[in-house]
Formats: sequence, structure tokens, C-alpha cells
Amino acid sequence: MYHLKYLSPFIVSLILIGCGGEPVLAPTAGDVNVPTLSFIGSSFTNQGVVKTLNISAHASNGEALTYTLISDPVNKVTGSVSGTTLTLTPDINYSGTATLTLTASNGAKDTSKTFTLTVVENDPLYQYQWHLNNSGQTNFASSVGIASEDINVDCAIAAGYTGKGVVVAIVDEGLEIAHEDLSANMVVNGSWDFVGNDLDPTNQANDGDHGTSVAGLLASVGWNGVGGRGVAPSASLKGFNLIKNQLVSNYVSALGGASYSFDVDIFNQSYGSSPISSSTLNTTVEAQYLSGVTSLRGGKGAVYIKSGGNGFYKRTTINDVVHYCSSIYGQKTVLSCQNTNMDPSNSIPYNIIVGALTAKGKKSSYSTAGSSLWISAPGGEYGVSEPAMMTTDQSGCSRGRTGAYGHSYNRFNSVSAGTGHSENLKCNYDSTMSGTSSSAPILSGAVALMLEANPSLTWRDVKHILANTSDQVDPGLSATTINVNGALYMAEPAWVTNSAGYKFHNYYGFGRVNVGAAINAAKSYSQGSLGNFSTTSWVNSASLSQLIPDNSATGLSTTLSVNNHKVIEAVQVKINILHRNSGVIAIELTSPSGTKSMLLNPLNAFGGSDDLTNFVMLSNAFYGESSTGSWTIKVVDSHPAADVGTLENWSIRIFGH
Amino acid sequence: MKLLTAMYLTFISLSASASASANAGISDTLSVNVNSIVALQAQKSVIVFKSNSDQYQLIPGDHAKLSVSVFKAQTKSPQGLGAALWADAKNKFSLPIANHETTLQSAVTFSNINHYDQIAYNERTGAIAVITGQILCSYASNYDAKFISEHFDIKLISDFPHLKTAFYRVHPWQDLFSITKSLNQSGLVASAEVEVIENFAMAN
Repeated sequence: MYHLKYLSPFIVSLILIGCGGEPVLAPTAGDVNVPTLSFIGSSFTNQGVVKTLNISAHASNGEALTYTLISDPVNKVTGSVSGTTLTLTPDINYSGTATLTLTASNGAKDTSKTFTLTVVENDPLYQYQWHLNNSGQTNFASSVGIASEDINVDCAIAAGYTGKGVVVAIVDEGLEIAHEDLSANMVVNGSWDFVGNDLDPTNQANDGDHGTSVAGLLASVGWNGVGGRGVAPSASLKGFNLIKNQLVSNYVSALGGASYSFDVDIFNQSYGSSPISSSTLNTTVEAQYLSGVTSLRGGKGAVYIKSGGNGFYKRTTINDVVHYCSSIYGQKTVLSCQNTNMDPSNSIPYNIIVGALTAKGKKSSYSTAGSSLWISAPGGEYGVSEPAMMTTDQSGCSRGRTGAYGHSYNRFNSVSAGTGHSENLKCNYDSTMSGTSSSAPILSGAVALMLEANPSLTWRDVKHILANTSDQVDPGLSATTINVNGALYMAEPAWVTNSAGYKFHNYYGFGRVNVGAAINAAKSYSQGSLGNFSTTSWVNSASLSQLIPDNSATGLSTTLSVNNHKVIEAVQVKINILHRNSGVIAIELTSPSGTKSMLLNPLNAFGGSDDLTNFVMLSNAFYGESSTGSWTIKVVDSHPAADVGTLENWSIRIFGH
Repeated sequence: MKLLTAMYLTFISLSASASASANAGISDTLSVNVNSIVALQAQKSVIVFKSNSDQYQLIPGDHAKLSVSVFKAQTKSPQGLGAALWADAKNKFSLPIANHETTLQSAVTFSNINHYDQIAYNERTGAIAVITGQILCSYASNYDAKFISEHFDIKLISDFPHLKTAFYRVHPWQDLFSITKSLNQSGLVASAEVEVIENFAMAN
């Protein structure tokens, strides 16, 4: 029961002005001392979505009125009155028809009237989607998450944001465009198949389609009575199966360079490479990214979102065999094996790199660390001991992750005699999806809601808002130190707060996306407040050829001076190091303001690979700081292997305004 | 340096392992032993070319083969492949390295439209890459993609005017590497290079 005070004219009458067929409280003639209410019809809303109705009230002497709303079933719908608006809020998990009784009282007398609010059909699997609303559910794993460790999206949904009108491309290995919980959101004839050169990227393989599961997290259709719900349940989807045919020309086409991708607002890239030696981004692909942020969306720039990688323990996969860092260094991995900077497409400012979080609000075990992370979002664990993600799967019990090729890690994914779990009879859904592949579409969905709330946002505005509204997670996480020749070396720093006030961690970027806060910031954002974007030229060191002390935490430090003032949006470092075992090398960068960022943690996946050659790393840790002054790079050889390397040269450039 | 290192480590791998162990050194068979086999085979190559700032050596006589299953690339190992010395699998390709001798003529024979997806060795990274059969061409401002196609009698596959970049394939009677060289010498293009894929993206 909720008691609401509202100052209104003495003659109490209410008019709820609805849109066709909605309830109306009409004034009733009678005793001027008695509030009178009348209703016509019923009202409807979607599950979890607030319903607002306009009220017109009239009274003669300005007495304060008190309103009371009672719902049957009890507390399934609550209400409040502000000004001329009655706001009805259904419980997030409630669907059905609630009988509501609104009472208006002037203190002496009151009048009650009854009407109904039908909360439209549930997405039956929504209850397991902890990333949307974490109530501590298991999602069929054996342990629970922690309540409220989610992306705070329900308030945005309740306010009516669903991603409508925003086009998102799922750049992946496929997309089942006819899936029952995706098809209504597919752009008709908007997808592209790079294998058959046709319009249908549906995966012909039977053992699960990654892109279909990714798409479900982003834009499963809402309130349709099947499956779960996407973060942006009305966003428009296109599928480009780039992973199946990775020609450079296909990269360009899939990322905004072809007619079928010109109209894409957000590119979701739940993929990455895991090279075991330094590599460089194809210059044509990089040029397409730059073109995309410069020219798409009418010059506001497409938003490129990419998963950071699942390589905290894993080094790479060859011939379906997974290789781990522990096999290189002969010890338990305490540092990230892969680093986000090893995938060269992570080391450009045009991509927003996403890390993964568990249902307990900590880094997912596999999530790759690195200074090029921007943000984190739920990615879950494996669905056995800890919750994974509930999302769409290839349709049918003879294919997909739930089916003949199933990940039968828990009872939801189990299939018996060709039939799925009682809540997944047709095996169209999967409760074991995990990875930064899941984190990316969750962020893409969040950005779709932001662009719906404020279509004028540029790609940089989106990044800025995310950096400013994300929630710090795992704040007590301590630095990781290793023993280097008897000295403790901080190989992965704890959270740092830079001189511009931004908190950053290589596990989390700026923290977990908070959709509600991001939407509010988007709505009130002043267009153009970031100024013009520009990039400095590379500032190059001389040819150094300086020895890197072997097995020494002291390392080798050297500086470069940047004279071009910018408010930093990202920093790139390019380095050349000769070393027989480049995986033992750590590289730190310290800004003129004193902020330190670990660009490359030691004991990493490069292992015994030779040299770092024109190796480009990116750090977001300096966001908002000034670029001017002396930048210091420190190179540490962290391992007693009998090899001595040299720092040949390095360069730095600043992206900012 | 990489090639020298790989060869050196191949020949002293046993003693190096012992030494590394005593030295708490790293043991990295993935970076050393496998690639050393590839490196030795690539030494026979007479075709060396640059792509995306890296230098590659054509692996003589071999080419990547589409796997039976696009998803499940054939699992190979250094042993048990008949004539092959070693094989890797990348994305939809299997990459067998056979013990071929080659000549310039035989390399050219394998570099036309009927033999896309040759493979090449990157001396710097020690990795093998797939030659896609496409020529990536940045055209000079005075000439467009169609003009270049007609001038060199090569097939225009895709054109991205906003990047001033186009992709071409050669005809069966033409050689991929020779055409690329001609393009670069023509003055009609800013740059042309044989496209390779070295690091395939995988779903995360």
C-alpha cells in the first residue's frame, strides 16, 4: 500500500487521459466535499515497463489530497502521483491482469474506484537472465549470483527504451535470421552471407551458432511469450558472417564499407585473434574503422564494440587443442596469459573493448586483462558451478549448443529422447553461453538504448558517457606482484585513479556498464562538449639499442616528451624490442601526471616468440589527463632465462581533443 | 633473426631444454619446434613478398585446403601425414606442409586462379599465413579501380572508393606475384600487395 500526497483543488475529480482504450477517471458531479472518481476501460503495459497516465484533477479550495493504490495480487503493481501523472509500476517479474484500486482522500472523505492493468505476457526465460536483473538466481548452475550485480537496465526498459530504430550488426560466424526470438527484429534482406554471397548468414553447421547466441543477448524480442529478452529488445539486427570468410575485403564490407552495412549504428564484434607473437592490424581494416567513426551515422560515427578476449589462462588454440600459459612458464598463472593488446584490433581507439563479469560482480575467470579495455559487462562463467548466460541457440534439438552437439553442462541444456528441458522443449535456448563474446552484445544493447535516448550522440560521446557512468566493481582487488630475482614486482596494478579522476583497472576498464545512469547522462548530454577529435603525429625516440637488464624488477626506463597539448582520449605506444623470449617482457607507461599503466604484463602468451616488432599497444588509463610533458616507458625482463634483450626504439601518439 | 633463432633452437632443442630447465627458463614448444619445421621448408622458397608490412616466403608447392568440415578443421600433427612434414589448421583451412622441392616455374604454376589459398611463412613471427588469391591495391587518385582492372586485365572483385582501395584476382594464365609486381612498377597505383591472412579471428 502506498500513500501519496498531492496538493489539488478542493473539488476532487480525476481524469486519466489515456491513449485509445486506456482507463479514464472522469469527474463526477456530486457533493463538492466528496472526491468522486470514475473509470472507463482497462490499461495495458509490457512486463517490467512502467505505465503512465495523465490525470486532470479539479478542486475548489486547494486542500491536500492523499492517494492510495492497492493492487490485487498484492504489491504486484505500485503507483505514484506527481503533478498530473499517475505512474503505475509493475513488479519486474509480474505478468497478468492486476486489479487496482485508487483512492483519493481529502482528509475528511474519500472515494475509491477500481480498474485493471494487464501486464503483457512474460518472456519466460527472463527470470534466469541475471545480467538484466540479478536477484541471486542460479540460471541452472549449482551456485547463485549476488543480487543487484547487473547492468541496471530495467529502469531504462521501464521508461520505455527498447532500442527501437537503432540498427546493430552482429559481425560473427552466422545468425539464424528465422529464429523464433530474433526474426521480428531482423532487418528484412539486411544481412549478408560471405560464404554464399547471399542475404542469409544462417550457419549451416550443426554444433551451435555463436552469432545466434550473441544476437539473443543483444536483441531477443521482448514480451513475445518465448525465450528471454535482449538488452535492447526492439533493436534492429543484421548478421554478417565474417568469421566464415575472413578476406580483408570482407572485413571492410562487414564493418561499414558496403551498401548493406552503411546504415549500421553499432557493430558488435564478439571475436578476436590470439597471436603468439606481435602482429599488426591490417592497414586497410584500420582505415575502415577510421572511416566508420568519421562518416557513418551521418558523420556522428558508428559505434564499434568488441570483446576483449577469453585468454586469461588460455594462450591460443591450434588444431582444436587449447594451449595454456602455465605450460610455458611451469607455474600457476597469476597474470593474464593473453593481453588485450595482443589482438591488434583491440589497440585502436575506434573499438570499445569489453571485459567479462560474473554473476557475483567480479572478473570472469577467463576474461583477458589489458589496458585497452574500456568497460566491462556480464559474461558469466560456464553454467556448471557458476551461472552462465541465458540466450538463444540454434533452433531444434538436433543441432545447437542445446541438442545433439549440446553443452549438457546443466539440466536446462540436457536433451532426452530428442526433447529438451521442460522450459526448453524445442531446444531453442542455451543457458551455458559465456565469454567476452557475451559481454560485447550486452554493451551493444546498452549503447542501442543510449542512441535511442539521444540519437545525436557521436561515437566519442558514447565512450565518454560510458566512462563517466560505469560502476567500479571489485574495488578491493589488490595488485598482483611477482618475484623477480628476489624483488617484488607489481606486474598488474590495482585500481588506479588518474589525475582527471577516472578510476581504471586492466581487468575492468572503467568498470561495469550502468545502463540507467548512461541513459540519464545521454538524455542530458550537451552535444559537442568533447570538442574536435584529432591525433598527434608519432613522437619517436632515437635509435636506442639499450640493454634491458635480465631478470631485474628495476628494468630499463626511458622518456619521450610530448609538446602537443590534448585532453587525452587514448594513448598508443609502438615499440621495437629484440628478445628471444618476448613473453617475459613487461611494459609500463607513466604519464606526465604520474599515472602508471601496465601496457603489457609479463609471463604472457608471447612466451618464446622472438621480438616485439612495431608492436602497438593502447591504454585508456590516461583518459581525461593532459598529454603535455614527459612520458616514461619502463621495460622489465621478469624471468631468469639466460637471454638479454634490447629496447631498440619506441614511439607514442595521443588521441584526444 | 627469427629464422636463425628457429633453426638454432631446432638443432639444439634438447640441450636448450636442459639448459633452460636448470636456468628456470621457459619451455615453449609451440613457438619453437613447430615453426622450425615450417622455417626449414620455407628456406626452399624462391618467392618472397611483402604484405601488410611483413615479409613472407611462399611455402613451395603447397596450398591450404578447405577442411571437410568448415567448423572442425582437420586435426593434424607433425607426424602421420604421409608425405606431409607438418600441418596446421586455421579457420576453415588445413595447412599441410609437404616435403616439396620447387622451382620458380613450379611456384608460378601454383599461383594462378586455380590454386588460391597457397601458404606462406612469416619469418618475423614464425607463423604461416594463407594467401587468399586477392591483390589488395590502393589506387592513386588519378586512376580508378575499373581502369586498373582493364589496364592489367585482372578481375575486379570489390572496390571501396572511400578508402581508394580495390581487390583483384588474376586469370588462370596470369601469375599473382608477377601481376602484383607489375602493378607496383606501373605508377598507376599507390601500392599493391598479395593479400594474406595470418591471424584468423575466432569467436570469443
